[in-house]
Amino acid sequence: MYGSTGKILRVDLTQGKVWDEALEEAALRKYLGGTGLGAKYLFEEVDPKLDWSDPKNIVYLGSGPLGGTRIPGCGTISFTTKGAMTNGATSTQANGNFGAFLKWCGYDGILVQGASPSWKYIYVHEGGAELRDASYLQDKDTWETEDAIKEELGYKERTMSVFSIGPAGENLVRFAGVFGDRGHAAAHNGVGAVLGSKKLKAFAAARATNKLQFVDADKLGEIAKKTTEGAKAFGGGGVFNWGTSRVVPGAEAGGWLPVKNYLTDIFPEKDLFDGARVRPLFQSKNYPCYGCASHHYELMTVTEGPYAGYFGKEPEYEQWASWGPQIYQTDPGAAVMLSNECDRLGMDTNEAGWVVGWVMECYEKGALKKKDLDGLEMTWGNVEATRALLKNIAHRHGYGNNLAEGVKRAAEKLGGEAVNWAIFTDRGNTPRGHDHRGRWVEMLDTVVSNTGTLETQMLVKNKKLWNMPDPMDIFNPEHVVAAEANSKGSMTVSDCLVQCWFTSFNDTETQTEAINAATGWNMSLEEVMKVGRRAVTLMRIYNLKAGLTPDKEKPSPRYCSQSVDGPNKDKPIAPHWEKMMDRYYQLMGWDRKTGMPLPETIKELGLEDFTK
Amino acid sequence: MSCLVGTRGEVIIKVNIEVMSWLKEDFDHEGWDKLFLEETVSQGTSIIDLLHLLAKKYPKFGKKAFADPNQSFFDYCAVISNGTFLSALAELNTELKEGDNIKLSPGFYGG
Repeated sequence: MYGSTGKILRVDLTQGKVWDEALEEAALRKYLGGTGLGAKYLFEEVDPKLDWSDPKNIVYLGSGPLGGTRIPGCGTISFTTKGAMTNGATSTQANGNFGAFLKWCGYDGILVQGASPSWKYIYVHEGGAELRDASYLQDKDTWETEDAIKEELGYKERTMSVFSIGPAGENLVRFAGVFGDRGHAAAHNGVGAVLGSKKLKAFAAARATNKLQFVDADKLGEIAKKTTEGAKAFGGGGVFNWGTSRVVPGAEAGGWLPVKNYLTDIFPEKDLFDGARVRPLFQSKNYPCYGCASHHYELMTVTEGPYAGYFGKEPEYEQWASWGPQIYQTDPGAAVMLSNECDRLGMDTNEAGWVVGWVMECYEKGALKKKDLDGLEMTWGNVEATRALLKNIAHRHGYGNNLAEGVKRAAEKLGGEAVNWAIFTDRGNTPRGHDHRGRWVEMLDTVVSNTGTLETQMLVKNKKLWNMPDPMDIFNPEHVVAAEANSKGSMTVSDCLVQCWFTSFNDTETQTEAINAATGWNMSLEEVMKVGRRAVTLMRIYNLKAGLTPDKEKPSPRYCSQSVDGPNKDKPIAPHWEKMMDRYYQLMGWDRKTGMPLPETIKELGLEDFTK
Repeated sequence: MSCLVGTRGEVIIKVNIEVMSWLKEDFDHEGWDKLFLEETVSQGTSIIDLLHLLAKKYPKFGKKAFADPNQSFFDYCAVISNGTFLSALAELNTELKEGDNIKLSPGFYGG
């Protein structure tokens, strides 16, 4: 089969067995791979009423039809499971090399079911796959696990890709993620906790010989060049040249940098976090993902301040945001350290940032005291207390055990006014590291998203194709709703192809050309767009059956509060919320009361079998 | 308040511009230190006129911000005027006043 290995690896951890399972071409064309295929498996194999920690839950880790081609961003992988934060469907992606290596080893994906009685990891190589003992990896952090597996199996850097959970996943911290290739993260909605519940510590894929076959390899080469040129040009080339390292100052200027748990939007020290300062200062070196020429991903060594000598990955924007302004600390070196410690412990930096910021506000206002927090003085900007608290959370020590449930559940347990200080949605997830009071589309998306993280946003190259308002007023309720509804599925196409957003910029037209050059399917643009909408709708139906009903589509009071200062202080979203939701349901073709996609929507997407 | 008068008798005003983040590179400015510009324009100039003026003066910016010379909108970067985020196209037609502070920041979505 062109563009596909024609099979996945199925792993039953309860029985300790692995075997190959054939893929049908019709299913691949309907779902492409990654998130789409994962959603299909989830729907078919996991009862929506089951708890995320039930051994019957599955985790699907998948590449897509472009995995292993020379097109940049196609070493990415997508995880799909029933997540621990929302107890609903989720899909979360990590860049790096794994997707390409997995396909070269002969698999489009790995489907994990059951739970092991003892710790295991999965090793995939040119000759097949095996389950191996991981008992010696227990309590190792994600970087240590990567090193230990490579050493055990005799692989050097970049000849193997390892994704693992850290202590947080082992201890079922609800916001544990999966981390690999030196800090890439599939962090959202507790996929790491699900793996922990299965006692699966890691996935390791060797760099094997590329035997993949594509219909038109020359055309794929042309598309690879075109994709790189497109990435260089998009948004003035900022992401291509700088990754997300220069976003903090601009975010503050635009009023969407989270500062002090949304207590302010002013962060005077923002320029200290500018990548143009930090990269040369911290001896940053490019560490690219498979097939990518951009300067998005770097490793660095802190050279000044109390954490001089600390080596790790350059924080992504969201990590700078969490470990700088959100906890109100101003030392970029400390932010590098905290961001890497959080990754190594195996936790989602966004949720961790909201948790720590909330604890600091509670501490300032007296709702939590030193004695409640195991002796930690959680004043704003206290770096060492934050470091200790992260460890306590990952190991569920002391008050860390409450915080390991995420900010919503921790706040509700503490009760009183403190609930109103926490940033979350009623489904149990939290936003990315932004102040969405200055980015309404993303607030709406975070609240209605199936995955527990951003599912749709403004990062769409073909605005006309997806019928997005253009020009758009980002504070006009009608524009916001139309942008969210009309472009629904655009990013999911990338997640079904499993291509990095920062190389594709969700350019559906080029992606369609690439699919056809890889597979020979001759898919139309409309058919590709439908794949994205189909995956979204499938997860929507699943989540409704799982109990994620429309009444839970609500931001917490702090999340949708009015900014007290900064450039968006006069732009409250709350007065518009209900009308926006009504209109959104209408545009999506969903029943306003039940939340269920209408029969014509289901028929159009060919999902009739999933509603019986 | 005193004001400047141009050669044709028009009233001249001064406005301050701060360019943020990687947008500085479009203005031939490397590094992380702040980039402040001061522009003198005739009274009646709007914010979008100012952006066109900057586009002429800084060709890298002009090429990216007004890729299509006939475009009827501006969405290359965020514009913050005197501390307020301008989100609607119509707001770019606002007339500049003496001492206005304009910030230009890259548009960015994603993680």
